[in-house]
Amino acid sequence: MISESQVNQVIIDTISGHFKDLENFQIIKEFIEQVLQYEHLIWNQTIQGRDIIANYEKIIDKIIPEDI
Amino acid sequence: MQFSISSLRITNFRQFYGTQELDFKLDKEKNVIIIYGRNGAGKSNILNAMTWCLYGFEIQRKSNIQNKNELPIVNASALDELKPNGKISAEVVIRLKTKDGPWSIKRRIEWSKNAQGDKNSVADSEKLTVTYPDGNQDITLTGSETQIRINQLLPKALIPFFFIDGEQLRNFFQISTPEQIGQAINYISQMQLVTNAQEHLEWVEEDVRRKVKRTTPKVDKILKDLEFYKEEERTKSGMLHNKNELLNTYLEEKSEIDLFLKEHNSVVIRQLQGKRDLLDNSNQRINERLSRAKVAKNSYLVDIAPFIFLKDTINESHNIIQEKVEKGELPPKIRETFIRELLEKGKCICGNPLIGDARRNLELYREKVSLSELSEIVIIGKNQIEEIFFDIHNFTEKMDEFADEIRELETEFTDNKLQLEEISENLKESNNEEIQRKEDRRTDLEIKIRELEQTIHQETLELESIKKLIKGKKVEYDSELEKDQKNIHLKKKLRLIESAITVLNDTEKEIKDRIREQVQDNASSNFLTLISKNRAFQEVIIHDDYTVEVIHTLGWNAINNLSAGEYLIMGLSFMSALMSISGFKAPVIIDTPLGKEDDIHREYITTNLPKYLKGTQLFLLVTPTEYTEEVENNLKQFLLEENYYKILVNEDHTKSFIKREG
Repeated sequence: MISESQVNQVIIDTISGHFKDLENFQIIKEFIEQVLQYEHLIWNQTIQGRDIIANYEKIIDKIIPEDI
Repeated sequence: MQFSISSLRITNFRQFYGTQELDFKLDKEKNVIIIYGRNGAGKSNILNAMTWCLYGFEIQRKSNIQNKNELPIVNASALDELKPNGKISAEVVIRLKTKDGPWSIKRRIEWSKNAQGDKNSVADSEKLTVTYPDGNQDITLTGSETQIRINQLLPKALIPFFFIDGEQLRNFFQISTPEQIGQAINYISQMQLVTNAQEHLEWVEEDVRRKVKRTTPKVDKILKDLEFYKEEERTKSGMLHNKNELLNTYLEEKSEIDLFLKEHNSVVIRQLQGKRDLLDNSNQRINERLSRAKVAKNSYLVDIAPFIFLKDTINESHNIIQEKVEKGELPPKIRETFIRELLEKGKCICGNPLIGDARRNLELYREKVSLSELSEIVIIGKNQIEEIFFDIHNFTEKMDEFADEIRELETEFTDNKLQLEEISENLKESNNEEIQRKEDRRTDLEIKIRELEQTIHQETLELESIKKLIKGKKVEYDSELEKDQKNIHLKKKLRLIESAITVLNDTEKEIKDRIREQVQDNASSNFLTLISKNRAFQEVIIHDDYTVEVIHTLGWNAINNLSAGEYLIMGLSFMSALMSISGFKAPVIIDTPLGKEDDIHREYITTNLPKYLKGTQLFLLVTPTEYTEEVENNLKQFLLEENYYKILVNEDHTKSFIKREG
């Protein structure tokens, strides 16, 4: 079975393949981590799926705040 | 999560009258459980009772929608015996053993009789109750969370890999399309989260684009175009999805007809179908070779065409070079001549005398440039031109070679096709009406499949073009955003979303590829282990497009020529590979596992499978014809007496009961 850590490693390798500079690498990595955590919550239905777009935007706003 | 079934209680479910209680003793070595019953006694309904209890559907029923005239889920005799205004329930309770403690899962549905006693109806809809341990206490759930709990134990999508119908398993590799095999692998890969994330990110991306302040006149137009193409993409994808599903249904039906003819009682029909299989396989190979030959011919044409068009110019250049070579002007020695002159004059171009170190350096340099880069290029160029001439000269011959190969393959293909048509006509002339009907349907299906494949190919190309247009529009859109500072922030967001989609998409592909390779390796090793005495095969390959090959020791692909027993072992090997990769350890329940097996394969399965699944409960629901003396002897070492149950049926076949035999 492919474990969660192996999946994470594939994600990291893929990001490294696309983004060579450290800053972009960190931003994308953090964003994808949060996206998957959020999807996990939807999957387990501990939160409602209807606010998906709004919640996604909240995640994005945290990563790229308005004043940057 | 790992679990085993410690007991099963079935009350008034389908033909099971009253309450039937089955307790299973757990033993790592003796992992087999036998439930024995003749055809129609209710073996499949044991499988159905389990999936109904756990997931609310019956795995062995074609439709899970209760039809008005269909037998109700509650036992018909018990319902019939009910007094007016009376109530009765169908109920299944499964108790599980997990490392955290015992679980109990109960599903029940209540039926009632009206006051006149002539009408039955559902009095209370299905209720699911799950009790599971949490620390030192037991928690009982009855609401919507119950199904989520069970899915954590074993996701519904994985049921076909644990609750298995022997007949379906045997036919799996005969009737499954590569897409269905791919789907099974994708279920196991459980990349749903990643797929969902991509879909949701696309929603967010569209939403962010809509928010862009339309301060440049072009943005509006681009956005409209983008939304138009996105809509086109969605529509086209949906249509393609439906067409692919329809194609799969046709392919599946055609495979079922082929299987029927292959297993038909008449030797002539079996032989005709066998011959058709071989011709079909041969035509598939010819088709592949034909496409390769056509691609090779086209690539050759693309390579040589410029030279053919420029033949005269190349010829002229060649003549010029040749003339210069003959005159001794080539290879050029420009720099060498120049340096030699300087050395002879003993004067630099600036007028100073060439003496001492300056002269020595120039002498060394003269040696180095004796074969100048330019002269090398000219020599290579000259040789290349000669090679091009050779190619041009051989053009006609080479084209003839391609044409001969293609013609030969096409002739072979047409010959096979004629033979295939003849076989079809022979089958249509059969005395058996069913064969005629099936053969007519097969011809009809072949036409539909061909047409649908062409449409799908065409529409896939169209979808690709739409995707390219979308990509182009996005680039255009991004460059427009640059023109207004106010949009910089949104642009950053968009870039983040797009990057995340790309990363997730690549990750999904990579993981699926790895899982496909793992399933392939496991299935291959399982197959060779389960079929250990048979040395005819060397490996199982699952290609990128999910086509499966079973490689014979002589190198042939034997997937279309396996025996019924080998197909079952192949199905079991594939399912076991999927099971182990899924990471879920649940009991395996196989209905009619040895139906059409010959003695050798029965022996392989009954001696190797329990060993192979050591530590996993293996429920075998067997008929008297399957459970021969030899099978019984083979299974003895894996079977505790207490784990042997028999299904008994009353005289008029309306009520079934389960009794422990051991």
